[in-house]
Amino acid sequence: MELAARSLTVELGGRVVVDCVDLDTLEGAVLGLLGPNGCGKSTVVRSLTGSVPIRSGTVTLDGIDVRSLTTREIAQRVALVPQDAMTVPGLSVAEVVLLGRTPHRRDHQSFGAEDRRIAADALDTVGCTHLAQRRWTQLSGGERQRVHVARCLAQGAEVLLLDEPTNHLDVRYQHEILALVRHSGLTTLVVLHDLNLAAQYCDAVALMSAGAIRCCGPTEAVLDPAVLTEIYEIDVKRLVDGDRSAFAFGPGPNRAPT
Amino acid sequence: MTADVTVSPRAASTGLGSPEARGAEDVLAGFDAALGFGRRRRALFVLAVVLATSTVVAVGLGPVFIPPGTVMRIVSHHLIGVPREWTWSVSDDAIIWQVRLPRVLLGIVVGAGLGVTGLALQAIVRNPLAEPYLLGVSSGASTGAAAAILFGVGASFGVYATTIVAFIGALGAMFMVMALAGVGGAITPGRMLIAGVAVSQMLHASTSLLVLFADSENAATAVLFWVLGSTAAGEWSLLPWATIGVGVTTGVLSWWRRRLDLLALGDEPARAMGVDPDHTRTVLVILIALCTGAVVAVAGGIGFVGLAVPHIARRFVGAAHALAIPATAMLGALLLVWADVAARLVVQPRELPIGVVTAVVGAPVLVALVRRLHLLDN
Repeated sequence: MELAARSLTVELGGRVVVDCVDLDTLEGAVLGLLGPNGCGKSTVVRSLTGSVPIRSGTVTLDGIDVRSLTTREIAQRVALVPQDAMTVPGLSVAEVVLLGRTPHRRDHQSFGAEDRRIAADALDTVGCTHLAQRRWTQLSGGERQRVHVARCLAQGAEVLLLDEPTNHLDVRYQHEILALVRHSGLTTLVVLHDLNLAAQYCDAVALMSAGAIRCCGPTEAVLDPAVLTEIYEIDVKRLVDGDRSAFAFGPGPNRAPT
Repeated sequence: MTADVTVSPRAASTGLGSPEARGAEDVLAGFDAALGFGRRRRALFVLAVVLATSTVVAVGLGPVFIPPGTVMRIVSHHLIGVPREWTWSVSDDAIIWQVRLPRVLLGIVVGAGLGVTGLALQAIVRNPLAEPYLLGVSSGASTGAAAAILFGVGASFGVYATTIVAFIGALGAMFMVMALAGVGGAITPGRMLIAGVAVSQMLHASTSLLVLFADSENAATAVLFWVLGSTAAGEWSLLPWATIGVGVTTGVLSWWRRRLDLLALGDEPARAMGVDPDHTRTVLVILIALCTGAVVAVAGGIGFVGLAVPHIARRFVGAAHALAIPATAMLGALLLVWADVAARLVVQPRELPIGVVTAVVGAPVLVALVRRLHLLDN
């Protein structure tokens, strides 16, 4: 399944926030969406799920315009890990994961044994079976993100959207959640801030700035120190140690403040 | 990729991607145990039994005590034509069938209605302190009732003038809140809270003004009594309207139980799971306002039920609305049945407004609740 945007333009409060963006997810691979704060990354994700109206352009799922699909039909194909941590009074982890089955049942249909089996397997896949009885409010940030992924797996969608899933997570959980997503084999679009994480876990990367895509292609090619220096306006250098490499930043903005 | 090499070993040790390590049946059994459907359904069943028993006992309680056995015989005589055996007096028959039964049944309907609308609103605005009166309907109903009691507005409706004008007042308040909340786009939880508070305050002031202008102490007491709520006016003719309102609302909320779960999660997750949050919220808010309006018009502004009961119910059966809706309905009914018994027994021969009783019971529960929320947060 492929999610694609063509000439996607979004206006919020009279301001063009996303300007003529073209984006293609990669079947079974991870596409990273990167860029400075306020460049429109999250808005792109929101417009892909229909939370924000599109001014012009199209979003297609396997070539079908999403506007011809119902919210429910889209939800059967695309799942989202939202940026904001949800606050749920009293729902347990098992109940949250089971809710992932909602798009597959009509309002009057109760969840059956099949739904519970799928949800239980999803929770097992992310290694959180032991959390099933916990309340959502009792989970750590890392656990919440994993349960979110489990809910998306239970949703049975083929496309997974993640909006800054590594926010507030320490290094270990940042890697854990991205490794989990990568191993899932789902077609994934992930908004990230951390360039080093993107370099490790994305197959391809799109770099945004000021509402437009500046650069898009294989991770190795796009995450080039010269390109990054230009977009983030800070000196970027790649350090290599054996089989690992990392970006180092500094000494400061490469443009003198005016 | 280097990532796979460094992360996989630890990932495996935490159980990532190892479903075959345990049997699939074990996984499902553990999940079902966590959902605890069996235990929670038993809690619902116990609640139903307690409510049924309470109803029979409560009908017998009052200035004149009538034992549950006699109550059962009188009710089954009227209801299914069990032959009359003259083991009870004509006055007992009248007390039970004409006075207490409709009153207790009205309490059940009102309690269930206030409970489920409070439960739904807490999910819709994602605020544990939400209650049905948030939508301004009780303030609107109070203003309407004050106008009817003090100035004879709607006198052509006869004995139901207060009820009908109160309902009209509730509808007016609802439209004001919806209009204010809808300014500048979709009705969001935040806008709705602010609009509800604004309209409520304005209507409170209007009610006070009406009472001042009426300049009659008796009438002011009547308005106060109405505002505090009572099921004493319960009679067979009022029952169907309140029952239809509460029944339809409870039905729709049960139909949309998962939508309520999703709205509680947030707009974006709700949409990503196939539910249009704006559409669902608008329909539900109108329905809830109508139901609350009907309940308040019949029984006045009984407080704390819509606020406290949903929290207690969630404690018994969890937060998922599939079970929380019936549990809240039954618990709300149970609370009002006993609050009404207290209202007619505590200061005989006078009656307490039932709202005073629910507040006396509800306030400590709320305090305990806030304490518990605080504990959960830490």
